[in-house]
Amino acid sequence: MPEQNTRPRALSDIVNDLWGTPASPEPAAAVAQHTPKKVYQSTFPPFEQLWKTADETVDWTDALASASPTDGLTSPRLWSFFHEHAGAVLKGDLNAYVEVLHAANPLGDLAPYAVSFDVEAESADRLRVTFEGSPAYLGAAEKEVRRYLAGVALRAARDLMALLPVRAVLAEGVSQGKTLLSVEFDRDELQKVRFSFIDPETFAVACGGVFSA
Amino acid sequence: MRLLLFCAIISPMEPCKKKVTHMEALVPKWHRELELFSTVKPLLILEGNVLDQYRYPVTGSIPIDELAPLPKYLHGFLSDSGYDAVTFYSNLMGFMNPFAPACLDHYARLTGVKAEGGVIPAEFKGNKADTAPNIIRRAMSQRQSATATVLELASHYIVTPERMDQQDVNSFNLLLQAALSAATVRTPQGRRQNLLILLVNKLNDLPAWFYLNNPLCKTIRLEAPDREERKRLISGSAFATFFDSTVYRTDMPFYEAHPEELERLREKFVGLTEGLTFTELDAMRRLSKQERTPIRDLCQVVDLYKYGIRENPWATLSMDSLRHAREDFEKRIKGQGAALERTLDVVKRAVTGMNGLSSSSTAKPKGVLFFAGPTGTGKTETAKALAEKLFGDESACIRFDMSEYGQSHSDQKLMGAPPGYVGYEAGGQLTNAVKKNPFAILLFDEIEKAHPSILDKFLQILEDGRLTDGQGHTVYFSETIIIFTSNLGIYVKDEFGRRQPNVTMDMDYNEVESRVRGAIDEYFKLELGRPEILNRIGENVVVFDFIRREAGEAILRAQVDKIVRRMEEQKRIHIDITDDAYSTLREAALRDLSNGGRGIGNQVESLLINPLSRWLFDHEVLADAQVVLEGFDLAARPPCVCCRLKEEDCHA
Repeated sequence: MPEQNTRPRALSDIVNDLWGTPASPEPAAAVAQHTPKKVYQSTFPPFEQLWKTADETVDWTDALASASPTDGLTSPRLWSFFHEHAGAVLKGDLNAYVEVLHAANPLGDLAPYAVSFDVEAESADRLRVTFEGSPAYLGAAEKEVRRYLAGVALRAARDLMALLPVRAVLAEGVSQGKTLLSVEFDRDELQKVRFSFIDPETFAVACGGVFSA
Repeated sequence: MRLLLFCAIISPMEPCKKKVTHMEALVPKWHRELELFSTVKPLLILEGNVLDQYRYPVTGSIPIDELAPLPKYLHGFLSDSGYDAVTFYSNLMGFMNPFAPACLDHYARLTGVKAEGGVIPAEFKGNKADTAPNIIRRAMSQRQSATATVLELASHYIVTPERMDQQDVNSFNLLLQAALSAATVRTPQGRRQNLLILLVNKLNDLPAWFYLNNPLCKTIRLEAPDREERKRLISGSAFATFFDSTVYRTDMPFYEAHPEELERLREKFVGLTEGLTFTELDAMRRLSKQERTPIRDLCQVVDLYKYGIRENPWATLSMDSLRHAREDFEKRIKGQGAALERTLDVVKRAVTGMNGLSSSSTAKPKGVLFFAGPTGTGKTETAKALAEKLFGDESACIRFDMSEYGQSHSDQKLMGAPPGYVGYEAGGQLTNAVKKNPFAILLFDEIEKAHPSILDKFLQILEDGRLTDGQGHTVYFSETIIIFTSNLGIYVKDEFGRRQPNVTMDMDYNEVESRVRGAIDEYFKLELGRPEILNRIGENVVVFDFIRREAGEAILRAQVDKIVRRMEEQKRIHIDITDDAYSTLREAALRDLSNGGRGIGNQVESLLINPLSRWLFDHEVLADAQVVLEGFDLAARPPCVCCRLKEEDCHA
């Protein structure tokens, strides 16, 4: 997969693409005269919640069949985007995967936990996500580092599986060219897990994950 | 790049939704009746499946093919037809329109009442001017705007039609007057009559005088979706919505390459879902998605939905146990090697899913066998052994003695009596049994004794794999094995009508098989005149051989061992049979093998079991003993055994 496909996009670009152009900012003078109005607040999952939550699963088969949201939750504009791409995604078209990944940027909210995320498609069934560990977490005790790596890997895998109809995600945590964790998550296995009750490190090991941290 | 990508999206795999015109769309009968009669009758009663959702069949304010609850559907239909003041009334809430609140405000202005918080509160009965029937009457008689008032859950406004008080009567009277005073209004869609629509579960929930012989009123029946509608629900891009995205992406290429498989799957699903409502079908769709059902297992979702979690014995059948089935069967059924091999072939075909490959219906039974041969040769025993092997329990072999179904009306015993007849509530013996246990072996013993009208029902079961009972419930035989047994071909009638043996013990198996098969063919083709039944059975006629000497000895040995073992286990009485005694018993028991294994059993009972029981009782040997059986006195009447207690273990 070309490297450019995995570049993170600015949040404003995504908002423009999917929800329309935001209103122009008020002139500085006018703003100064009014109480500042909060227009946007970025939210990131706290570390302890990282693997316990994930993005909403995109229902591509529903999106294929219906031009308007069937779940009553997804915005019509976003649904329309899914509807347009559903046919190609369900055919396993990797170019469509790329477009969807760029538009939805599923790992964008994990920015505080990794320096970068690279997503590659090995096939329509299997993705590989490689994240460069954040120095802020890698300096901790070994147990904590393992927990951190497994937590990010699990969350990234869950988010990717929620977005794309892949069966497996190979997640690798790296630092300065060295692989610290390599673990493959299988959709069928993840389906059975109650994420609120697991320890990410134990789970990663149970999935055959290998730590070298 | 982008252009190419969008080409891919509208590639043949999933075509863009084609615009469907009114004429092209599949419009259900009740919708067409609604269109027709809403222009000529001011009072419509929609009766039946009113709590269901319906697929919106025409281009309009609701997207075509969208499933909508009936009120939403009606709002879409009425708005699109030119009614600009549509409201829904329930006796608990009052007048509302959750789909277009502006409609309610308009309705309120027209009738001179006030809407508060999206509701016009009004009781159904009472003496006030603003009861619901009074408001409806005002709406019906005005000429400014086309109004339509839908009375939801109208079955529940009164306790029962027989127990109405005067106020109830007055309220319905006012509704009648409202219908009488219905005005016609010009709309952009043409002239429209103000309309009153009642939604009821059953027509007789309303007082009969309200609708009977009422020229203002038209009753429209809403049924569960028919075959075509169910097929439409699972055709085109809607098919994808039954599956999880990953499953669909992985499985679909196979079905794109084999469209005939997909069509077969759809047909089976459509057949299996007969009688289910749209709401149930939608729940099944979501269940399939949630369970991540593979496309090939779509029809199993119907079972999951109908019966809950139930192990499918066919899916869990161990190949290893089948591999050794022949040896296991031979422990129970002696001297029938060829018949067992043929039987197991059919079962293996069922397990490997190769049954029905040559036919169009996949809903057919898993296998059909026709066991023929002399009496007492192990036909019923084979069926029971098969049930134990496949379903782990002999009781999964459900036996019907067809000599009990010799009358022309006997089919009612099997399939259930029609409405109004005695026994209607009980249902049919066969349909009930399969409903209760769809994974079973159905054994129809002595099929030639059944009335020919029953054979027609079997024809349907063998061909379509389903049967509808007297109560209208469809029962599916797709998980069953059907076995017919028959003694046809053992005797034939000579030119004087006398029974003559067609096969004898001195013939070898090949000759027995050939003669019996010939006689069966003749019976179905010439005597019964129903060759089509034989065609459905195909090559699955299994002829059981006579019990010959060697098999007879094995049967006798098995029966005697069983008796000895049981005495040991249950009474702790050990029985030794001397060689001489066993030899005497063998000669007597195997003297006449014309009655097969059953004849040997009868001999064992009269020569061994009865005399031995008598001896034990007379000698007060009831437990904990060792008995030596030294001989038989077969000349005595009844026959006796010669036994003695072993000295050291003599029971006091």
